Amino acid sequence: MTSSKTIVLRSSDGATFEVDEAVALHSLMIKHRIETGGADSTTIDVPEVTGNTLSKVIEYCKKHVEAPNSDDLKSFDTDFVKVDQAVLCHLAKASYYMNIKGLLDLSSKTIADMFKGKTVEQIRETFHIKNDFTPEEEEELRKENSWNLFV
Amino acid sequence: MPPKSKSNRRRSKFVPKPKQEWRVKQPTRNWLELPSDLTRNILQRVGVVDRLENAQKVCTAWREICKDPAMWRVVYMDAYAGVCADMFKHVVDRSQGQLLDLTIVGFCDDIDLLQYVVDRSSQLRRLEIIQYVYDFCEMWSDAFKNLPSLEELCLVNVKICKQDIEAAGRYCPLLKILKVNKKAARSCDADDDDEIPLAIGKNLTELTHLELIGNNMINTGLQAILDGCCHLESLDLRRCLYIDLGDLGRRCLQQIKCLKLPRDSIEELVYSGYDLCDSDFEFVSGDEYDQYLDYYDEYPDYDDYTAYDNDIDNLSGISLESLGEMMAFMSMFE
Repeated sequence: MTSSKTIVLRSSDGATFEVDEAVALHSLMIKHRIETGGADSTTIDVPEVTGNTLSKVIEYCKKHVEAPNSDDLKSFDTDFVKVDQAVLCHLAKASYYMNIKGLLDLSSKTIADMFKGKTVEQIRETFHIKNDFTPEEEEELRKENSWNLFV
Repeated sequence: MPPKSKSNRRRSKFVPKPKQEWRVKQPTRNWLELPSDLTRNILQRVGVVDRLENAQKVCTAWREICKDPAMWRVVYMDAYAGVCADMFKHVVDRSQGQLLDLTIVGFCDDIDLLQYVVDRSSQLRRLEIIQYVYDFCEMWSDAFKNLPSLEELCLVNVKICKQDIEAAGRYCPLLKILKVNKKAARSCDADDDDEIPLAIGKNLTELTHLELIGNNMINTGLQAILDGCCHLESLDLRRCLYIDLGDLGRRCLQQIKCLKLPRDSIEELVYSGYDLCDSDFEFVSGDEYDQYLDYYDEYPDYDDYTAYDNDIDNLSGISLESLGEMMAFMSMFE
């Protein structure tokens, strides 16, 4: 009988999550920590990620580790990123820090898709970003796009 | 006097509170605080048009990221999606010679654009061109001279001749993946297409992956590929309507790890502006195959493409499964 080892992951706000080692290893950052870790490598701190986000990340890893060939994996991924913008942003950051390629690709692509068909102003509104160009810089940008576009 | 709303009636004294106290607390999502690498990852996935026209104009941080030539190493440019010739050249300029992977769609006959790329992108490893029908044989020979790092070349509905294949063999020693795909069409001179596989077998012997969807090669072409390309792991012969898979089929099964046969589905092969699919294309069972061979013998010069679409219903082939079963059956008698 194989006993699966479990790992405890601790988020920035102190929430702890016990997961199967195989699931935790889906994060290359955790894999590296375990491989290079000292005596106590059963509890791993993930200070860049809050409890709420870590919980979702674990859900993603579980699905991809435990059922990688399931027919509904694609629809799982599609539904997984149907979240509000804040959660999406945190998922992207978490997948980056925890080095989970599949989730990084998925969240990055979802965010990139949000640019489609949006004007500059609409993008600023969507991502809550202020225009910090000087008028001169904006003029330079306008001149750079010198191609004739028949609108 | 303003009409009293329900809420006004409830409060005897209405003292507006500072705005922030009314706002529901949201988790912070300052997109500009994302690590730079992550922002680059996201912006690289934004289409060329959206990146040039909008994303890079949002703020100075994103502008700086988009100025980096490394952001333009992998580029997809679709004329049908709004990329014009000037934008095309601008993107190539932005890459400052670091272009590694380029897909271009629908720049149908603009040889200047292709020349513009190859003159400035000697590090190019992957090139995919869809719908480029410039009818100038040997155009590729000059292009290949400037692409010594090319590992993958994909052409969908693009003319290429045997001299071009010879040039690829001469100038692109790293070329491992070649795709020359088009919509299957009946041709009076069925062996016209044979010169391509013959040239491949002679000049591109290091290929590991080859696709010739819709090619009208005959058996001599397929033989040349099997003889010449000993490292081939993957071969796609979908809609190669003129090959007869008897002994050659057995050889394919033995030699090739991943084989796609004329009859296999091409449903997924839809490109922007160009569709390799023929939804009316249905193979009939092996029993009915012979009567349709007679049908084609009766119309050897049939070259009306529109009507041919209907005739495609009558073609048949052998699926990988049936071929495998046939081989297994025959081997029982060896």
